[in-house]
Amino acid sequence: MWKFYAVIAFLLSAMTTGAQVVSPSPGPADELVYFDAPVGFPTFRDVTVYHAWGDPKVFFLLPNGIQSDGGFTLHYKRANGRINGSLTLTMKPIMEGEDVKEITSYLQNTVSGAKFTHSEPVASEWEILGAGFRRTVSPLYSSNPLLHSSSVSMDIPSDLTEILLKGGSSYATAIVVRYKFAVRGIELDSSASPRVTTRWFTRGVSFPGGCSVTPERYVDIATGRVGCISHITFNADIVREIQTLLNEVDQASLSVDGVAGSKTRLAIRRFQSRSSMPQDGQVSSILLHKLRDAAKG
Amino acid sequence: MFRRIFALLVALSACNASAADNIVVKQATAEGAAFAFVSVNGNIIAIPLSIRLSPTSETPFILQKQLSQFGTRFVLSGNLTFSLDTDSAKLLSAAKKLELSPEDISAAADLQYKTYIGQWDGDTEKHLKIQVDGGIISAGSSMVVSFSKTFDDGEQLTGFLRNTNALLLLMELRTGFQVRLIQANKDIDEIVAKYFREHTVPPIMPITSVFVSIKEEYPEQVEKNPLYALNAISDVVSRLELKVNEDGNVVYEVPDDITMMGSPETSSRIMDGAVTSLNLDICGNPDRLLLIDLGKTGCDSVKDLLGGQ
Repeated sequence: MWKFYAVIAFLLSAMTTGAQVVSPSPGPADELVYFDAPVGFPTFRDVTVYHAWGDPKVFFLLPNGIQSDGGFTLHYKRANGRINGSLTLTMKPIMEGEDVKEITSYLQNTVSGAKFTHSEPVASEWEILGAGFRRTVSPLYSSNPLLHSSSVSMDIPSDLTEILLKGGSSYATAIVVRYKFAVRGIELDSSASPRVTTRWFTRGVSFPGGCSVTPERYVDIATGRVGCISHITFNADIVREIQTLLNEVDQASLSVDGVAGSKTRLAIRRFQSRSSMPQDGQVSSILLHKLRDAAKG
Repeated sequence: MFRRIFALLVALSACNASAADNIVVKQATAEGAAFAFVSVNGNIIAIPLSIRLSPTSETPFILQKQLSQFGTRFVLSGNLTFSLDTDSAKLLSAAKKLELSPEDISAAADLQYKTYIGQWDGDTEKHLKIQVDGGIISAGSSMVVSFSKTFDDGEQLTGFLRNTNALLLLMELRTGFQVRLIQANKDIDEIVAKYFREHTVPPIMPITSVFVSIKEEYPEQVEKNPLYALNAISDVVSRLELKVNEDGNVVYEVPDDITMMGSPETSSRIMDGAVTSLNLDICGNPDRLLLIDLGKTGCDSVKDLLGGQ
């Protein structure tokens, strides 16, 4: 405990007594992140916590990650033998959860009168990448994007569209997103004097394809048809092996007939559910590998 | 336990190194994770040095066959989510090995980073280093990279996949701390230039590591102005290029004609850091590669894709 207050005292001292350290005087309503005074945990939690410049009792929370909020939607159309897509993505920074509660609770119990605030980025952009594709978009926000879901839309090239429309892509990381946001704050310059600066932070997240899991999100705008454009057909031997393994691993009581009927697909879904896989009930190589691993124990 | 390990982090930048001879760099590993511990006048900062791919259930590499009027080609794309390994149990275990008290250790918060993909180029027989990302992260943040490589024929593709060292994820991390300079010193300039001409530069905390070595070798000269020595070393390191050597290791390339720029006589922020890499052996696990056209995984199935070429 004494260390905590010792460092607080050090920070206060640095801010109030150093000859070169002069506050840029942000008012209470205009508090800035003090970039050189982060509050750290050896455990590196879900959020990064900073002191506010000039007030060691005020803490800024910045997210360490982002998550999909409803995944994405793909609208596509065929033209000149190619398939062009338009992607709409919805994402939200991770600013809540047990880790965040634990951190804020601890600081409230440790620092009398501790207050928490969220920085509002002065700029933010999404960078969408996949299969040689890279696009940066800067959405317009009506509220703090660190606290709410945001959506972006963009056209994507044929190669990436085709990947997303193939059944196997449900098992692959097809798209990754970098969320970049700029926050105003104070840092010490080379002569240890405070200066107002803007720092860009980057957070990332990945998305699998999912035309066989959530087919309604993959729409052919010319015909209204939804789902994948190609499914994979597996031979009967592979289906038989999967049925055998499901009987062994999950006591599924399936007939080993090499036909992936409704009972087999239901058993596959059950196994996928407890193996944290997309629950599409489809036979796949990845399913086979997972079942083999499970059978090995 | 939580209270015990809680520590208020003061970034390296808040550490005014008024006596640079108190800078110490130590490294330790624990359960596959590596950490550098940098002590600046008693403040110990832990910097994670291991890259950990996110344990998603998704396959990170996709192989796509493309047919065009010019023939068949294969596109290998990768989408990787990763983070620095900051597991607190590993951190504490590594600190224990060095007999450091966990309560004295803070974690580096903001890190400047650059991420590269090192791709083996069969024509030049060298790794081609391509920067794929860069910016500022907090140590616990998740990061993503994406890349793609096109192969004009199956032979090129299988050669690349067979090479277990063909693909590397490289990350350069830097964080800063403040030093106060006294005055320029030409003797130290010469010592520093000579050192770089004669020694290899360690990829982990190169500035502080070289400083410790030079101080051991030339204690009398360095002690006259240790902070200038630190700054001179920093000046050289900032101009070095990273490359992947013949063995697939990441090294700093030191030019033969190292020259000293002469630092201004003022305070300065030293940015030191580490280079860390991860070998992405695509064929090492059948779950790493999806042949999107066949719906099959693993390099064993590539022959099925090539069969129709």
